[in-house]
This record gives sequence, structure tokens and C-alpha cells, in this order.
Amino acid sequence: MSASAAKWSSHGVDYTTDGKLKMNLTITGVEGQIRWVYHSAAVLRAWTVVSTDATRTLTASVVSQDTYRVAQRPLVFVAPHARGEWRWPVEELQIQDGALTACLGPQKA
Amino acid sequence: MDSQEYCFVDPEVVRIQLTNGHFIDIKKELNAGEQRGIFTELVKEMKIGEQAILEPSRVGLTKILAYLVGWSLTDKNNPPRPVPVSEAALKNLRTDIYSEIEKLIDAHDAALEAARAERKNAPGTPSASPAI
Repeated sequence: MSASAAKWSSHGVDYTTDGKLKMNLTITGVEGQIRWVYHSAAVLRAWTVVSTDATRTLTASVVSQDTYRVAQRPLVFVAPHARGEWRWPVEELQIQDGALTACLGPQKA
Repeated sequence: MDSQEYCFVDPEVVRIQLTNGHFIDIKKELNAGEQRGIFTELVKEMKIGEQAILEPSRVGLTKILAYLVGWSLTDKNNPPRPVPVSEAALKNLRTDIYSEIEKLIDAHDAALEAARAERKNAPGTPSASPAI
């Protein structure tokens, strides 16, 4: 997986009632993968992660998938960027007609 | 055979230290597809009833690639950046480092094979040809 540049943009910057910064963040990228430990479970393209305070939702096109591995747990969404990769645990995942939608957990180091 | 025996390989990683302070992460056990891949990715030509012709440049390499999932090796930038495991990176290693990795993986593979043979020969394990 090459380190194709992922981009991020913020929108809807706001404050919570107790004054904390509340930010909705959208990150997009060209290439990504769903991994089961070291195995590639699905190869993704044109992915988007929309992150709010409470939720992170991944949508992407599925280039290829291994049906056995996609059914295993735990799964991690891995997105390359210029200096390495971002990793989010996958909490729920659906693939339908070549499109993936997943709920992600908090980002891993 | 225990009817509840689990028959799949769950991916697990084993970390092994190199003598130069770096480490490699390898698969604890290969699954059937990966094990077959060691051979199939080595074959240049195969005809029914004839001995397979192997690609000499890939002898040893396919086993390392099947097992190796990560390492702590870095480039010479400042600060150093991790070098991802790849066939190209392996081929660009110093010969002594490559040899050490190859020997460690061969030893791990041999130990696994020995454990499999021991399991197969354990009392109570049915064999393909039961004693008459």
C-alpha cells in the first residue's frame, strides 16, 4: 500500500455547553485497507472518515475483499499518509454492492 | 479426534530479536494458503508428470516473505523513518542481516514442523493407515 496523501478538513467547529471545543472532522484518502491482524481483509479506495465527538463513520469503495477475513474480529482500518499510517479499530462493518460503511472506534497510535 | 478441534490459523505475531538490536515480527504459524504460496511463488514452470522448474532467485525468499510481517529497520534519514517490509527492501539488506533473518525464520519453521509431527504422532491421534 503506497502512502498516498490523505486530506482532512474541518467543518462545523463549535463549542459544547461547558466550553470545550467541539469539532466535526472529515478525512478523505485514496487508498486504505481493512486488516485482520496482519492480513488484508479488504482493499479500499476513495475513503472518507467523518468524525464527530461521539462517532466516526467510514465510507469507502471496496476494491477487493477476503470474505473469511472480513468476518473475523478484531478488524482495523488502516489509512496511509505521508509520514506513516492512521489506524482505527472497526466496531461495525457492512459491505454491500461494493460499498463499505463502518463505525470506527477511537484512533489508535 | 476432538470434534471441537479448531481448524483455522488465527493470525499471531512472534517478535524475534536480531543480534544488532533490531527485531523482526513474524507469523507464529502459516495458514494453508501461505504455506502453499512458499512453493507456488517459487515455481517458474510446472508440467504434469514432470519435475517443477524453480526460479533460483526466489529460493529462500518466498519463505521469508511468507513469514515476515514487520521489523524495526529504518532508513538513514534524520530522524530515521521506518522501512516497510517488502521484497525490494529485503533484497537491499546487507547480506549478513538477510542471512540472519533467513536462519531465524528457517529455525522457527523447523520448530513448527517438528511440533506438527509430534502432534500427529501423539497417542490417540488417528493415522491414515490404522494398524491391523
